[in-house]
Amino acid sequence: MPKNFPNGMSLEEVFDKYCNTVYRLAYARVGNKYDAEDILQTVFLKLCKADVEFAEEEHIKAWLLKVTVNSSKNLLTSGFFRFTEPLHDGITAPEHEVSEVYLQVAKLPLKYRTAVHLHYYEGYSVKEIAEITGTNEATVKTRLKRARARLAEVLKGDEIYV
Amino acid sequence: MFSEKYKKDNENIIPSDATKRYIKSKLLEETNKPARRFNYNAVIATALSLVLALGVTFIAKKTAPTIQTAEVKLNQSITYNDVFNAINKCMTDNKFSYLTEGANGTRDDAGISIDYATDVGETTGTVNESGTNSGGSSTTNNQVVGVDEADIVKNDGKYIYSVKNGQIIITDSNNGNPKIATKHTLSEGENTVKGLFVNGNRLAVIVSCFNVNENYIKFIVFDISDKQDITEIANKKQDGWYAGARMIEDTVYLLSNYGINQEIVKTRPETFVPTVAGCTVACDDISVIEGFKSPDYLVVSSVNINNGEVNSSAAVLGGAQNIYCSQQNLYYTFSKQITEETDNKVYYQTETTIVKVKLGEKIETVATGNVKGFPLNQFSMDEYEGNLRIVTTINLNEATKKGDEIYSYITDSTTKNALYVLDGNLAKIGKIEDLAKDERVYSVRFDGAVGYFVTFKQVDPLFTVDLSVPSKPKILSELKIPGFSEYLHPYGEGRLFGFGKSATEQGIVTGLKISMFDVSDPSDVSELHLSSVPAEWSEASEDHKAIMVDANKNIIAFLATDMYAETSLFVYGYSEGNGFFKKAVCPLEKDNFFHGARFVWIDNYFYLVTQKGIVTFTLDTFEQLSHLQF
Repeated sequence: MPKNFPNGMSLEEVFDKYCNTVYRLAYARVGNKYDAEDILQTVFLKLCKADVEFAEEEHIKAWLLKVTVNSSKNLLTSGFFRFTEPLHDGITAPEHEVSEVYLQVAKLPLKYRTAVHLHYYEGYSVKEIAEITGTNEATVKTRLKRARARLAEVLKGDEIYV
Repeated sequence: MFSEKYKKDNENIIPSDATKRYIKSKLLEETNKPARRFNYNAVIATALSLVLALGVTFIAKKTAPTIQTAEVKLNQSITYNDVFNAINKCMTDNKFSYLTEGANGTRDDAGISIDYATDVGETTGTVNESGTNSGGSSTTNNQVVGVDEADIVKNDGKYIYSVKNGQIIITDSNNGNPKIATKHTLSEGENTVKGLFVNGNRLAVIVSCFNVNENYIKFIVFDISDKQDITEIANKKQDGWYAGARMIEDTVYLLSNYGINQEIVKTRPETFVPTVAGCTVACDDISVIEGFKSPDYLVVSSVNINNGEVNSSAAVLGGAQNIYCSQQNLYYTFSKQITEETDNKVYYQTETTIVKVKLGEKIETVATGNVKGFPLNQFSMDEYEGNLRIVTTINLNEATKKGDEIYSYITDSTTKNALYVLDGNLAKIGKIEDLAKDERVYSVRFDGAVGYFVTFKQVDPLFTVDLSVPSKPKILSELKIPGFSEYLHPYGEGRLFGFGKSATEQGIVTGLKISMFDVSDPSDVSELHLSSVPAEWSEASEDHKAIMVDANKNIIAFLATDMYAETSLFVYGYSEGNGFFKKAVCPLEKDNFFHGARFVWIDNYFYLVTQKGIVTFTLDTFEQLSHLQF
């Protein structure tokens, strides 16, 4: 475990503060609560075991999101994933109360909806998203652009802003 | 507006409180694990197995070097001064400087008020040959015949002994109409019962205790000649966290992991040496494994169950993670990471040190040895004709260095599996390495001169190994089937039972399954029958004591929970012609607390024992007779 968290936070406090953040990204990626909960546990257990020090609190969040992306990537690309490509048809039985907007985002390809989530929900810049998802800025830009185009098409009337 | 709506939707997406509580308890457990607390090595191994469980496809790295395991030396016949110096060196080398700044209380596990015998550091494994004793009742699902493992439910053929939140409950099975004989409330601070042993007129209770400054286990012996009125006859303390316990005949071996968490003072051995029953372990009985990485001891004591007297005790600096006990010897392992650095890469590999302790009136640490990789659990080890066999998973991780930054990600990883045969001095005499690349071990079972183990990535190869010539272990067969077994248990002549998960050809896990393998011809093992269990999860996947596999009575019993969180008791039988058949599927009421449920049969009745009560069934037809509430 990291020996010290910034601002004297304890592991429990870190968990309390960031569990929703991790869970939301995991859910956006895997689309069902069982796997999202699995990922939530995996991510914090990894934090527990990680040989890493954080200079600032913001680094914890970025680390957690990065590990969330990787952990869910492992799950999604592995045979262990319970359902084959569940999100291509959207969330069939919503486990959380969400609007049409969320359901349409869920229908986007994985990489697109990850970028959308990090940008529109977490408010990260293209550069930061590239860092978290381990890709380059141009790719993130393209993904966001295509996602916006797709969403604009399906969510007629809802304006999409960069 | 899109972004407002998307944000608002996300506000509703939160994990349930139950999930958060559960994960928090897991985190607490993880940070409290004494053997792993300072030991990144072991920790990375665990993390990796977790990653593997998620099925990452690793690419084999051709340029990766092979890291050789080092020789391991055991220093004995030492003085307290030597012990002090060794600990001091370890603390300095491994930056445990805070331990010289006074005690801290981080090991306090307040918050987990009830702990139902999940052995700390002892991973659980398998069952004995039949699961039965000569009389008309079941026993704990022990790995080795004649070596009883502590458990939270025991029976003596008439009475059932169980635990409920700080109470010992003795129930008269009374031919299918159980009646509580006594409820004994343990003293305050003794409510975390880790396990019980019953031996004639003696009941031993092992309790885990902690306060701000110390963690210790208590060994309490009761005279149970009068079941209505049991009397405490001994109460002994041993420093450290509970690591496991075994009983061979009248002797109980108690194991604990003791981590130094106070300032050490050279002139006061009690500050750096664990105590057993009020005495610090004698320096003659302390062994130091050269180059140990964290100031943890494994403490072993042998106690006579008849009077609670400590026969002898021993401590080894190094800590323990997995414990295997044969009738003569105790073996325990701890794993550490070894690294090799190049200019821009760091390579990590886990190696495991095995320590052999000779049991008897006088406990003696007799040998140590090193192997590559790490064992899965106690079933990964087995002693046969004086040799120890161990199956390990080896992973070689590669990380990229950025200058002198420690902050590095694992960029590549290869996994292999191996089997080693070690002689009485734990020197390697035989091995098979490079097995099942990119997979990891899910279960192991040895049966005399034959060993079975299951690895998994997409399909489940069941390997059968001929160990009749210890220096030349040989793979006899490799059966590939979808899914994997997490627990293996010999089931009568030429049959091997497997409990695990089913999966598609692509490796997608679909649920629980039970399998019966034909192992009568070890060179041609086949899966005779399989049956999928309509449930998602079972404690039996993780704890061998939570499953009853009894070939004589033809019973396979376990609890399993489906996707709607409904838990049912499943009882299967097996016939050669028709495969598995259901004897009973009994949905259990919701809100009951099923963790730590156990199964007992006595004469013609079958009992499901939980912390809430006992449900009784007839053994032949599994008709539910009664439900006794504690």
